Amino acid sequence: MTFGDTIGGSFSPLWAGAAVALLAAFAVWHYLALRSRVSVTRALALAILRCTAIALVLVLIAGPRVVRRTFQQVRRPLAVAVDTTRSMGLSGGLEHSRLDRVRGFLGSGAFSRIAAGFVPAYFSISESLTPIAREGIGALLPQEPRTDLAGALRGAGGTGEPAALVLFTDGGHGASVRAEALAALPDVPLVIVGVGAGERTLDAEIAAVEPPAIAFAGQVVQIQVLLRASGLAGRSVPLLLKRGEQVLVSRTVVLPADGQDLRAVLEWTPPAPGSYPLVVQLPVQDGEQIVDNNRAELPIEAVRDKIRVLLVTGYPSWSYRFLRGALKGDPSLDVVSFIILRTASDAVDVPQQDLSLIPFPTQKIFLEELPNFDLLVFDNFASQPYLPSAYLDKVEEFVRRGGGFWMLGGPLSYLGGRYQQSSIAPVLPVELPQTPPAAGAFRDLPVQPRLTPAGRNHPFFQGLADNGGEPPPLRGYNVTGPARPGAVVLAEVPLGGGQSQPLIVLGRYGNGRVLSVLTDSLWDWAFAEAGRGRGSRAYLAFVRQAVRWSIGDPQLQPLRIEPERVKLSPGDPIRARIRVLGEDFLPSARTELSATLRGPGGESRALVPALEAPGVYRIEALAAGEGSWEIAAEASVRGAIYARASATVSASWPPEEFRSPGLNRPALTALLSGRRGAFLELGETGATAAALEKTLDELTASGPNERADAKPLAEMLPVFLALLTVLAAEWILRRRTGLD
Amino acid sequence: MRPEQQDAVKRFAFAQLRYPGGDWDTHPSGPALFIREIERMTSIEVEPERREITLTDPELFSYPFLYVSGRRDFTPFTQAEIERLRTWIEAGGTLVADDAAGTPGYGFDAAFRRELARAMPMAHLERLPADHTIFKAFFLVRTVAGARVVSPFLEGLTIQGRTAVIYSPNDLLGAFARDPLGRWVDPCAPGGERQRRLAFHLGVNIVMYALCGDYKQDRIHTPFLRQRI
Repeated sequence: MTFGDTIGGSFSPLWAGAAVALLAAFAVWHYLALRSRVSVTRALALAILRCTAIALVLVLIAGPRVVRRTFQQVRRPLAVAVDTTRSMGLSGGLEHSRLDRVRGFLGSGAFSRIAAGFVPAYFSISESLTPIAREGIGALLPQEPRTDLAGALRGAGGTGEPAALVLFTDGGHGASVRAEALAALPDVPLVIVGVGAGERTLDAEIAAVEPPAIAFAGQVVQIQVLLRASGLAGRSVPLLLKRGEQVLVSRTVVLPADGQDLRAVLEWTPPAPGSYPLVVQLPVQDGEQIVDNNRAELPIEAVRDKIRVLLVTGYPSWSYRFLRGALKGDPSLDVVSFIILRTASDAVDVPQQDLSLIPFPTQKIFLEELPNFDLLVFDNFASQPYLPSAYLDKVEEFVRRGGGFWMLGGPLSYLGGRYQQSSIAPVLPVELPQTPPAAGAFRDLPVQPRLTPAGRNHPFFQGLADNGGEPPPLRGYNVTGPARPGAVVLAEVPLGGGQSQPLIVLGRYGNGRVLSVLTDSLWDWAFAEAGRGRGSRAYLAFVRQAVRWSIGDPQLQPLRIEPERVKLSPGDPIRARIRVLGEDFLPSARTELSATLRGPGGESRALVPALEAPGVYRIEALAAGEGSWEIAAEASVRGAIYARASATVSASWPPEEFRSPGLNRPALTALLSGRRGAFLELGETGATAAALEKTLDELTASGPNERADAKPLAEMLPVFLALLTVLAAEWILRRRTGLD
Repeated sequence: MRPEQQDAVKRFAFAQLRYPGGDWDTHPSGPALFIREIERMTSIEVEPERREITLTDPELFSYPFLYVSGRRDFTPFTQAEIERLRTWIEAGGTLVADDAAGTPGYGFDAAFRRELARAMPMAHLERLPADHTIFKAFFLVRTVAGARVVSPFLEGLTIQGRTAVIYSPNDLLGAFARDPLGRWVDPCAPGGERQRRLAFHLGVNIVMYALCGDYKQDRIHTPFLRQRI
C-alpha cells in the first residue's frame, strides 16, 4: 500500500545559503550600477533577470536530484511455539494445566488482535520445532519426553525470517543450555512467555548429588546432597542412600522453604574396592505430583587407598636395594620392610644399645597385621628360624583370602628356605621337590632367560621394548620342580636337551595371586641395563606391573567390560564389549565366559555373549526401567574362575524433565543472553497480552518498508529552457534600453 | 655360612676403582679385613676377594658399590670415563671416596673433587647431617673416624634422596690395613684402638647404607631408635 510521496534534493544547506547571499549581493550591486544609466524599473528588471540566469546556471552545475519515496506497510511472519513436553501437563494446584492455559491465551481475543498485525505461524517445540496449524493447538498433548529448547530453536531459521519468535514454555528441559548452543541460534528476536509462575506444587526434590572426588575402600566417603522443596517446608523426611533395595544410610532432614536450598551430607564406607551403583532417595510425600526428582543415581567407584606392601628380606642385598627403590618410588605404594641385618651367628663387639637393630616383630606382623597388607613379599627369605609353622599358616590363609604374594629368588628361597616342607609350598605356582638336587638349590652362573609366548604378550615386560622384547641376562637361578598345572610361565631358563627351569611364574591360590621369581639378580635389569644404555625401564615396569597384577588391578585384569554408553536414554539398549584373555594374556579357546545383568531392583538374568573376534564378545540387553544396571562377567577355565569384572550403566528417563517442576527462569533467561528478546510470564490474559504487544512493538518497530527513486534535476529539459528564456529576455531588454 | 647355602655366591663385592696416575691402592691389605669384619658382624653375604675395576671395565655395571682412594693427584678421567661414571651413579651406584692423605685441598682430595664436579656438575658434596641414615644403618655411630680424624664429618652427594657419593677425608681404609705379620700398618690417631673400632663401625654402616638405602628411616624403626640415640 502506497501512502506517501516526497520530493527532496541533495543541496547542502550551507552552500545553498552562501549562493543565495552572494546572488542577493550581486543583484543589489547590479541594480545600483544600472540605475544611473536606465530607469529604475528597467534596472530592477535587468538585475532580476541576470540573477535568475546565474541561479539557473548554478542549479545546473550543482546537480540536484529529485527523489521520489514510496512507503508501504507489510505484515511480517510471527512464529509462535508451544512447549509440548510432559511438564506442560502439570497444573501446580491450579484449575488448568500449563498447556491448557497457553491454549486459552492463544485463543483469546487479546492475542488475536496482536496476531492480526502479523502473519502468525504456529509450532510445537520439544527437541525440535514442528509446524502445526492454528487449529491444531487444541489437539496438542503434553507428552514429549524431553526438551532441548536451544537445540529446537536452532531450527527457527526455517520459520521464514519471522519478525519475532514467541515461545510458551515452562523451561523444564533435559539439555543444558550451553554457550555454544546459544551462539548457534538464529538472530531472531525471542519473546519467552514463561508458564508455571504462581503455582503451588507439592514437591520434594533432590536437586543435585555431588559424589566424592575419589572413594577409597574402607574409608568414609561424604556424599553432598542438595535438596529443594515446594510447599513442604518444615516437613521431616528420611534421606536414604540405597543400593538396590538395601538401605545403606538413612538420616532425617527437614525440608526447606520454597526457593531455599538445603545441603545434607550422607556418610558411607565402601567395604571393598569395586563399583557401587547407589541411589539417593527421598520417599514420595502425600500429594506430591512429581516423583521423578525424588531420586538420583550415584555410581561410586571405590578404589584402594595406598597399596600396602610388606617386604621381608633375608639379608641386605642388591636385590633388596633396587626393589626397595622401585617400590618406594611409586607414590601409590606404602611399603613396610624388614631385613634380617644380623643372625644369631653374627658377632658384634658392642652392646645392643650401640646397634640400631630392632627385633623382628613376627608375632604382631604375621598373627595380627598381615590382613592389613595387600601384598606380601618374601625376598630371598628363609622362614626358619623366624616364622613357626603357625605363622606360615597365616601366610597361606592370607593368600587364600585374596592377598598378593611374591617369592623372590636367592639362596634362601624355595628349596634353600625349606619351603617344600611348609604350608607355603602349595601356594607357590612351582612345584618344590622334597629333596634338593645334589648340585644345589641355587645355581650361581650367568644365564640368558627367554620369554615364553605368554611372557611376550604380557604387560609385565612392556619395558623390554628397547631390547627388542628380549630379557637381559641374569646371574643365577633357583632350582625347583616344574610349574604347577594352571600356572602361567612367563620366562624360563633353557637348560638344554629341551629342558627348562621356570623363572617367572604366575599362579592363583584361592582368591590370591602369586608371583614366583626364581632369581635374585633381576636388579640387573635396572643397573646392568643402564650400563648398556637402556636405563632401568625394564625393571621398573616389571615391578610396577607385577604389584598391580598382584592386587587385582582392573587395568591388569584379563577380563574387561566396556559399555558402549554408560548413560542410557529411552530406547537405548544396554550394549557392551567384553574382552577376555587367558591368564597368559592371550586369547584362549579354553576360556569360558559367563555374563549377567542385574537390574535396579536386584533382579538378575543371564546374558548370552556373542563372539565377535578372538577374545572379544558383545552383549546386548534391554534396560526395562530406570536405574543402575550392572553387567557382571566371569572368566573361567574348566569351571575355575580366574577373572571377574563388572561395569554399571545408568538408565534415566525422562532425563531431567521433571527435575524442577516450577518455572525454570534461569534456563529461560539464559536463552535470552546476548540477543534481542524479552521474558514475560503468562498470567491474566489481558495483562499478558498488553505486555506481549508492547514487547513486540519494541522488538519489531523497524518502520514501514520504504522505496526511493532519485532523478538528477540537471537533466531536466525545462530548467535548461528556462535558462535560455531568461537569457533571451535579458538580451532583448538590454538591446531595447540601448545597453551592450 | 649357612648349611643350605653351600652353593651360594657372595653377593656383596668390595669393588675398588683403579685409575691411572696417582696411587689408587693405598692400603692393599685393608679390604680383606674389612670384608671379613662385614661378614663376621652382619648377615651380608660378601665376596671374599676385593674386585679391582676401572671406569671402562665392561663389568663396571655389575658392581653397584665402588671404593676409590688415594693420596696424590691423579690423571683426569677421559670424557668417556666421566660419562660412564655419571651413568653409573645415576643408575644406582654408590661411590665411596677416601682421602688416604687427609690433606684437604691438595692431592687426592682436590683431584677427586675436580673429577666429581665434571661427572656431576649439577650436584656437589655436602656435609652429611648427624641424623643421616649412614650413622644408624647398623651401628649407632656418633663419631666419624678413620686412621686419622682430619674432619669430624662425612660429606656426601645426594641425588633424589639417595646419597650416591660418600666422601671420607679421614683415611677410613687405613684403619683396616695389617702387615703380613698381622700388625696394624698405621696407628689410629688420636683415638687409638677405640678410634679403629669406630672406623670399622662406620665402614660397616656405609656398606649397609649402600645395600639398604634409607631403610632405617622407615617409621617402624623410629620409636626404637629414639630410645637408643
